[in-house]
Amino acid sequence: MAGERSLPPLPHILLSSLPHPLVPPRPQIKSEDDVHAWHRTRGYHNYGLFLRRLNESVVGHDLGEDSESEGHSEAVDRTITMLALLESWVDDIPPRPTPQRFGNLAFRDWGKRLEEQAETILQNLLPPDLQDTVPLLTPYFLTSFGSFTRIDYGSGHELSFALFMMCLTLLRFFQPTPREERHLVLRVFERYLRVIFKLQDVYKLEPAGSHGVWGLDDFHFLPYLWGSAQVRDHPTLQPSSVLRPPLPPTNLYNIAISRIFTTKYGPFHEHSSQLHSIASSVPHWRKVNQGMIKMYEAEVLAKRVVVQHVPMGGLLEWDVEAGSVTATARENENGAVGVARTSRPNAHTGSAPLGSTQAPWATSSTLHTAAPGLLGGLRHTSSPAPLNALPPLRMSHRAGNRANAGIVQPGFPNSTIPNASGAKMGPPPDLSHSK
Amino acid sequence: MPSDLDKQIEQLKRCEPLSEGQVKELCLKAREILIEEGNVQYVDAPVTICGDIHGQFFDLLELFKMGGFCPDTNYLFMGDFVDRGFYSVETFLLLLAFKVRYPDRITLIRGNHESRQITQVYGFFDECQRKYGTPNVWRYCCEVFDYLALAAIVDGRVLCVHGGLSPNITSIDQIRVIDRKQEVPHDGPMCDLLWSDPDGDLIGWGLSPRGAGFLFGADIVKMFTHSNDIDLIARAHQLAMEGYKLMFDRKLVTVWSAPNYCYRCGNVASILELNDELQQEYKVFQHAPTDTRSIPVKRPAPEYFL
Repeated sequence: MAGERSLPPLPHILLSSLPHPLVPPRPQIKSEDDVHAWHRTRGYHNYGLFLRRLNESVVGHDLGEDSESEGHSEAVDRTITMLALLESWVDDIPPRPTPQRFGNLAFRDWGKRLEEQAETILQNLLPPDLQDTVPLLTPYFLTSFGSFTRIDYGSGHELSFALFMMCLTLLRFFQPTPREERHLVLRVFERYLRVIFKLQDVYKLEPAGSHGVWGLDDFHFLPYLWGSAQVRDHPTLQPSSVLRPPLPPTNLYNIAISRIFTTKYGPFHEHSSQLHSIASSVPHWRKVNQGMIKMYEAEVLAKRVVVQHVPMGGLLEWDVEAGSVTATARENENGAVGVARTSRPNAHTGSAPLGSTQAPWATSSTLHTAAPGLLGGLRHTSSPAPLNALPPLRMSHRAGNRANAGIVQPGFPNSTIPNASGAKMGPPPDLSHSK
Repeated sequence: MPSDLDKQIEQLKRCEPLSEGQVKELCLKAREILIEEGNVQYVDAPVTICGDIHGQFFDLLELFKMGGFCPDTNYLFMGDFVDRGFYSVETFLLLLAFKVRYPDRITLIRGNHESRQITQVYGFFDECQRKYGTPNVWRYCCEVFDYLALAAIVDGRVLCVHGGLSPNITSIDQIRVIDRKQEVPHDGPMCDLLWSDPDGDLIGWGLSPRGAGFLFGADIVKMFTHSNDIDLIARAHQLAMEGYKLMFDRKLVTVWSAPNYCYRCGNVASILELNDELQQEYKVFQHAPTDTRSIPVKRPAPEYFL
């Protein structure tokens, strides 16, 4: 891991250095190989740097501290105002009375308004010299608030918002100074969280692909990562403190845990088993913070089912297809963006039942682009073969279906377990190789 | 003298897990029973039909308290025993032990979560890994999943399936010829039976936002029930805040048996009792009170934090 105090600033990407015409980012990851390829891109490297710089910037700082005395930049102010606007829409668009159904369809109306107004909102946010970057930012902005089709929210949407903040820093709308970065976490991200909490509550958003009680949290990750950084060097506070509510709202970790206490009913060690294990067995916040970074890399950034929805390219440089991953010049004009495809799939299908499990093999394109007339042939057809852990069973002559007879033969091909699990398999990749 | 199996059932009723060796043995026996069942298992009324459980063990005990324990009551569970909840291992093994002990008094059919791929994303794999330290128990259970029936039919009149219908299946006989003993495919009739959902606003078939299975409208259900001469399709797969939801002129019902789903949804759950005349009675129940649960077992933090 890079020295905590020696992280270089995030690079400055000049609009003029990007290939023109500008190509909006779009989901690029379709396979496990693509995930690995992404991890070698400059875009991924920049995100790792951004994440750690924000992590360092909040060490020793509480939420809401000296909010009066320490003013913040106009960029931060304007972003917070923009988030407040989005929150006010929730009051304009009340949930529909939809008995016996969990997720509320009014969230699609909220999403429709966001899609209609995103461009204007971003134009209003940005100064004149950054107006041309709106198409590069919109895909992150639009995927930051959940899936309007599935009426769900997860760490992938949270990641989109973090990337949105990163892109704005690459463009120097936000400045990569410790103070401004601290404000990104403690003010902008905190405000974003409150908008998301409201969306989750009012429209009853589902967790997007949660590991259930074995995941860290149904919806979020970054509050735990940055929140543990806030108290990392605290002289007396211990991780076990979170098991004794009520918790003071002084850091994002406490905010997230308090949120669980208010939204869930049942024993904490059951519905939040990972957080309980961490609180009851990790001695120091420093260990918690280090673990959160490793876990985020492995459980969010290395999971195809999460990152397959994340737009890549543009400012999140996707220098894979150009074959120039060895290029060290940051603003190498040839290495930045992959194949052009400007149309963005419309994220709406028809009305749909909710509160549901998603197929992990479904990509955003299979979910979003096909029309109801296209029955069949829409999805991948490969499926993993069973592992033979139990010895093969002899077929009985009385077995019901002749068609079943072939399956239990011992020669059935073995496959490896698909690499999509939450299992703690091997060390997570390190984001910090910044040399 | 109670047999080993009876002892295991008592142990599981106390939410005490079996050893890895015991799980292996139980899964082998279960597989020998399940392989003899057809894809569409025949069930005689009276029977009590249950929906998703999702590892909510103490809520499953509430279900049994209300509906009666096996073998006193004849049960049909429509899948999704595992994932999301804290006690998927204990839940599935208790149901499986009942199946081995009283094979004619309990029917288990497969849900979309009884799958290797899904359990790796939604919790059951993690649970086995955390509770046993190895993925072996997960493997044994997944091998049993491959043998679970795909549907059941009660007195020839009520079709029970986890998800719903498939555009590739117009008659129940077409379900019988599916080669079921495999991981749930990503598409095709077997996938659809476990993944599809009804949609009250739809005519015909629609794409599912889940990315697997299809949406089907009232006309599809009307046609299917008519041509197969059945009264009702009972299915699970979707949270119903009131515990059950009748649709399409009462030709289809969703039964949901996981109260306060995921500790936060605030829903009640239900079971459907069909009597000798196939009359329906829905019994609604609440989640178990917190004080009936076990105390926390100290487990080490995930290795990221070591």
